[in-house]
Amino acid sequence: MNLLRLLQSIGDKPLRKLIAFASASALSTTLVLAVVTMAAQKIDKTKEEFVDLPVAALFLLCLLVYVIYESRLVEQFAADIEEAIDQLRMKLINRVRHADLWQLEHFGQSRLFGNITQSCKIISSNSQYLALATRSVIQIALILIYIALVSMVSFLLLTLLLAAAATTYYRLGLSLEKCQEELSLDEAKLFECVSDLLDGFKEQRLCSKRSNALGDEFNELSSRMVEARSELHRQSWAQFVFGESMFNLMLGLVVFVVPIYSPSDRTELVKISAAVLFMVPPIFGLMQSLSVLRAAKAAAGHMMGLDTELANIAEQSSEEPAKPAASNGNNNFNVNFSEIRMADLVFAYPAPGGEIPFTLGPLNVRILRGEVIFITGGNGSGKSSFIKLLTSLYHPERGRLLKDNTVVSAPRFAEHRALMASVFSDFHLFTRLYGIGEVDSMAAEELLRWVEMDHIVGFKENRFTRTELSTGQRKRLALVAALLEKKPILILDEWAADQDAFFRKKFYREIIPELKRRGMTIIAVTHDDRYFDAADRRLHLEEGQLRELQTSKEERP
Amino acid sequence: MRLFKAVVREIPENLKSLFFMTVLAAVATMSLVALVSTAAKEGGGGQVSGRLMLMFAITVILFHVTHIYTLVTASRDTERLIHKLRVGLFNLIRRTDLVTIEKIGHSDLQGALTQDTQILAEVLPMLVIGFQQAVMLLFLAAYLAWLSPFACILAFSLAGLTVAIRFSRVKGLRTLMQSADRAEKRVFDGLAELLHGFKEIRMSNPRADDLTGALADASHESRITSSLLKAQWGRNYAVIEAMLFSLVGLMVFVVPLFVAGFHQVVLPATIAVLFISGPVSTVSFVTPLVTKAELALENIEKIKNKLTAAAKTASSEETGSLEKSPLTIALKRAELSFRDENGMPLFKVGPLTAEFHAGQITMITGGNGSGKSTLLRMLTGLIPLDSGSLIADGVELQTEQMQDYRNRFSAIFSDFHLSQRLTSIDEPNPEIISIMLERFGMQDKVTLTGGSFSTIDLSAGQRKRLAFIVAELEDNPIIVLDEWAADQDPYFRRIFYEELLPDLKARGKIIICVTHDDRWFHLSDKMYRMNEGQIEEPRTII
Repeated sequence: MNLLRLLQSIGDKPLRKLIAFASASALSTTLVLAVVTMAAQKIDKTKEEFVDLPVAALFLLCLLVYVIYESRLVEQFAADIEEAIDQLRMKLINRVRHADLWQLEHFGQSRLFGNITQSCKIISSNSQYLALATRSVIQIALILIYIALVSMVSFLLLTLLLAAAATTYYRLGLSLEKCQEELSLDEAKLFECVSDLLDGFKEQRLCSKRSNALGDEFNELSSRMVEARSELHRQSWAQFVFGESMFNLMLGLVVFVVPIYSPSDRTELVKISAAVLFMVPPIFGLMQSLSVLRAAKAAAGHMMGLDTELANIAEQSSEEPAKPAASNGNNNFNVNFSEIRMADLVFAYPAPGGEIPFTLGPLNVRILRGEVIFITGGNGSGKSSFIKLLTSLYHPERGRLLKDNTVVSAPRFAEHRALMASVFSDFHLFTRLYGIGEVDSMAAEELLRWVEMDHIVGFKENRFTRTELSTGQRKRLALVAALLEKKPILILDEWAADQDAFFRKKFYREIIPELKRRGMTIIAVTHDDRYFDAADRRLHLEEGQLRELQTSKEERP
Repeated sequence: MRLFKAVVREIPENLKSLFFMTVLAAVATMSLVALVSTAAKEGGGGQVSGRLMLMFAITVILFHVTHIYTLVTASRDTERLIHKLRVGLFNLIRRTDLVTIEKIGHSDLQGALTQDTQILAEVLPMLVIGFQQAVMLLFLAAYLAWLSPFACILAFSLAGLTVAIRFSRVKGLRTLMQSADRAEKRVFDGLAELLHGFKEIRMSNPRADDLTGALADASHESRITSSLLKAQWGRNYAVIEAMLFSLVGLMVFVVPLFVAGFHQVVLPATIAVLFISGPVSTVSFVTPLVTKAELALENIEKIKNKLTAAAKTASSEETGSLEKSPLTIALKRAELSFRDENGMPLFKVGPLTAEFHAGQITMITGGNGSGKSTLLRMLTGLIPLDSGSLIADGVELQTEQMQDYRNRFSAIFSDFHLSQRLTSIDEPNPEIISIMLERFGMQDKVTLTGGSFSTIDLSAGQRKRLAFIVAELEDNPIIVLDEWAADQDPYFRRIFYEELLPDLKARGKIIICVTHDDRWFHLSDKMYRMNEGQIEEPRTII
């Protein structure tokens, strides 16, 4: 039972409390039943309007106990579950943070995100029903015991009918779930149609045919939804009404059948009928929470499974060494390095069966401090992988990455990466500039002016005031963020691709030379052949092989 | 009562029979209560009456049948109602002009088409059962009143109070729920940052520590707010349930104090009240949902009204047609201003005068925000001009010709949308497809079967290549390409400028190309450079 395991992850106490509170609540309601039926029968028997005050007081006491323990049950269980979720969630997040990039990329980030968010949501939003389900089980048991005490025959008959009804009810629910799954597929298609209309609004305005086809398709999908949903409703109502009718039958059983078999219990028919009616809410509640329970159980399983999976993809040196003391310092330019070298570095992509795997390398490169190096090459020639190898985000199959003749290996990854600031082609612009301490906003404003963004964006409390901008503009902000890190090496992957011609010129003719003058080492992936001369060296990748080419203008391969 | 009006307007067919069957189901419940109490009493006397048993059986069956009928029929009708609303809205959006759509905003439209209809689909069946249980309560009330009017008044006062309390507490709960959702969203946003910026996180330990720290705070905050929400929910729930239990308590501890002769009816009254508590609970649960449904309907109607207001002008665009495909299209002193909500001008494009000829490549260049995309939107007839005119073959275009004019375009905008299904072409030419896929080096990645691409989960550059194939298949006389080559590597960029464009030109199309690739500017027959919303005199960049 995954949910219990999740709950127990914060100790044994929560489970004990759950059962204790649920029992107290269930017991108090059963007592309400006993007290009420007793009082009713007394009035009926004595033929007098007689109110037994101590009994009435007991009734009120039971209600009070019920209110207290029922609310505490929900509150406590929810708090415990939330604590367990919080812990597990942070554990997962810390695992993700230490994961190996290559493996994480193949793990599927959207799956990961969906898994964590969905699972948390499902468990968290249903915690109260889980608590109530526990209470319902105990309550049903107690009421059945009460019935058994009053009339054994009724107990046996009712338990039998109840068991049969529950089985059928459960079966009816199974096909319902399948219906539900199909429905959500249909719904996804319908929503896809909506985004085709809205995201492709211009396209459909430019073509009547497309517009009409879209309209027809939506209409068809929507009518299919009507059918599917109606069928779902039909089945779920059939299940619901079946449940109701079963209770009616149980009542019939009590008043018509029990007297035949057990004449001695005849006087207790009202008590038993009332008991049956008291079972209605917990039973329906339980039945309805079954599917919720299943979903929550599966979600808990997903999350705990994720934990093990993520543990397997951790990067070798998960315990990062002591952070470089000066990492937040203002001037890191003096971090000691004079060259980075790749020696026979080989990286191979695993290929699906039968195909030849793509291999990058063997790469032999030496990058000296203060150089401006352009990496060029066609789509899929391995440029981005080269960058990832250089930053030790990917780990080579063979060969070595060296910094000043020291091999960059397991415990030194973080130290090596701390030399570099980057804007990848699929860069992410953080909502806040995390982890670079308090940024001097004067410096930030000046950089914004330099990339001609100062009239659009400001900088306040380590945040850019706007980030919902065009890709080109966001890349300029990402460059500012990278420069604010004050690292000796700057890595850029197709940075200029989204800039207009004027700013591109400024980038190659003004920004890069100035950064070089300040002593930065720049490694940039680029396609802009007319500016290749802005580099000190040009490394060209073709089919995973690296060549050094002239930097002056020339014909492309 | 929007909901009531919508029901009467859209799905009036089954209302009568539904009402009749609902009443029948309620009558069945009432007789069930009466039969059970009578039988319980008679059974106590020592006999089982066959007549009662038969009546009981009939009642149970009647209840079952009528109950299922009403629930199933009503649910079906509500689905039809949703279908009508949904399709109506979809088609309305389809016919609306771009400006209105952008003014209303994607998220609102998407919300109305998906979330609001989903809310209706979830809530309406609940309302159906709520209504039914309410009718049932009426009949049970009548039965209880027949047993003892005082008991009935007392019981239903308490029941009414229960529903009212529940209703009044919904708001407080909703506020808590919103803050819990917000806290949860902060966690998810942080998680999204961790995953999207994973490379960046990996590059810097201080950054990773800082972000995880922020996430831990958010996660803790989420835990606290969710727990608060649940605690409040639990208290509400317990109080409501306790009030339902008190209903029974009333019958045995309170009513006897005030009503003489109540001992004769105390048993049936108790049982009747036990029957009441279920429906009361349902009704108290459902009442707040009415507001939810009303809000969703209101939202849909609001958007519908906005769209209908705009559609009055748009609908006339489809009536006329062009005599033939134009060989020249032009903007003449065309102007368009962007305004803020108060009507204050923000940015003005134009007056623009530009000509585009068949068999010529016209390139448009200019910095970010210089008005290139706006020019394209004006030229393609997607936005009506503030002043000036749109001219085809020397004749000014009339409003009713606009849709036909637009139909002559194939366009790949910079924010283009590629749909997986080819909706604009009836029978795609398989030869062109395979030639083009091969030319674009995508023959192993994508196939086209049954009018759908096998996948569109591709890089931006690859998706643009697919969009180009679609444009080739459409084979329209005017083709608009907005920074098509920006995401392509040098190889495809060269193919684009040196092979694809000349090929289109040779086929006599009007080619309009927004580009920054100055090294191919010489391939253009005509060049417009935009700056601050104006077309500049030609000049060289370097």
